Amino acid sequence: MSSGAGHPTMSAIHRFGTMVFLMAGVMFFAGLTGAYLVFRFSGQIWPAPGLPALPVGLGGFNTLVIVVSSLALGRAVRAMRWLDAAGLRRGLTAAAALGAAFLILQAVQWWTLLRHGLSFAGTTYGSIFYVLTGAHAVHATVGVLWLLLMAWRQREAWVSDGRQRKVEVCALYWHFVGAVWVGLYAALYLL
Amino acid sequence: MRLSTFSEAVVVVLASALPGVTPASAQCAMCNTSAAAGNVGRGLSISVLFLLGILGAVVAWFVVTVARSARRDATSGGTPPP
Repeated sequence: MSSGAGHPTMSAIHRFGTMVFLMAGVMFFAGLTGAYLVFRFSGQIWPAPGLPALPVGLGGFNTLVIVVSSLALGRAVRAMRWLDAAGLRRGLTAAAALGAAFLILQAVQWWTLLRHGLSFAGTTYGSIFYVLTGAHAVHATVGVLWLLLMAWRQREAWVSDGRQRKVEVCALYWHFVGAVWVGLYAALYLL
Repeated sequence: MRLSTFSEAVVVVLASALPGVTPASAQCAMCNTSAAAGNVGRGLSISVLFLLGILGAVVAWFVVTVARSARRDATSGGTPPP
C-alpha cells in the first residue's frame, strides 16, 4: 500500500489486524457502558441524593486535551509520510505530553470526587464511574508509554519502513483511546 | 478468500446452528415480563439497544472491509488460478 506521496505506509494486513484487535477493545468498553446504561436508566434519581455531580467543565476540557493529542499525532503521521523525521519526533512527543496531561487531569478529577464523598465502594454510581474511567486510564497509560517509546526510538534523521508501520499501529491505538473517551464523556457526563 | 465463498461459509455456519434452536419456555416469558416492567426494564432496553448498535457498527465495518478488499482484488485481476 502506498500513500499519496508515493512513500510506503502500513500494509492492509497490518491495518486489518490492528483494527480487529481494536474492535475487541470497542466491545469491551461497549459492555461496560451497557452495564452503566442499565444502572443509569433504572434508577429514579441519578446520581442518588448526597452524591456529587461529575465536573462537566473539567471533563470537557480533558476531552479537548485528548482530541488535540490525537490531532498532534495525525500531524506526526503526515510528517512521517513525507519522511520528515524531526516532525515525526515532535508530533509523537507532543501527543505523549498531551496524553500525560489528560491522565494528570483525570487523577485530579478522581481526587476531587473522592474528597466530595464519591467512593469506589458503597454506591453503584461511584463503582461504575471509577471502573469505566479507570479502564480507560489504563488504556491511555499504555498509549502514552507507547508514544514515548516511539518518540525515544526515533532518533535517526530518517524514517525506516519498519518504523512507519509501528508508528501507524500506535497511532491507530491512540485514536481509538481518544474516540472511546469522547463516547465515555458523552455517556457519563452529558447523559 | 472470495466474497461469495465467505458468504457461503457464513450461511453454512448459521444453518448448522438452526437444529439447536429451541422455543422459549414459559419461564423465559415470565422473566421477560418481570424484567420489562418498571424502570429496570427501561434501563435494560436502552442498554440492549446500545449494545446492538455497537455490534451492528462493528459487523458493518467488517463487511465493508471484506467487500472493499474483494473489489480491489477483482479490479487488480485477483490471484491467478493454479
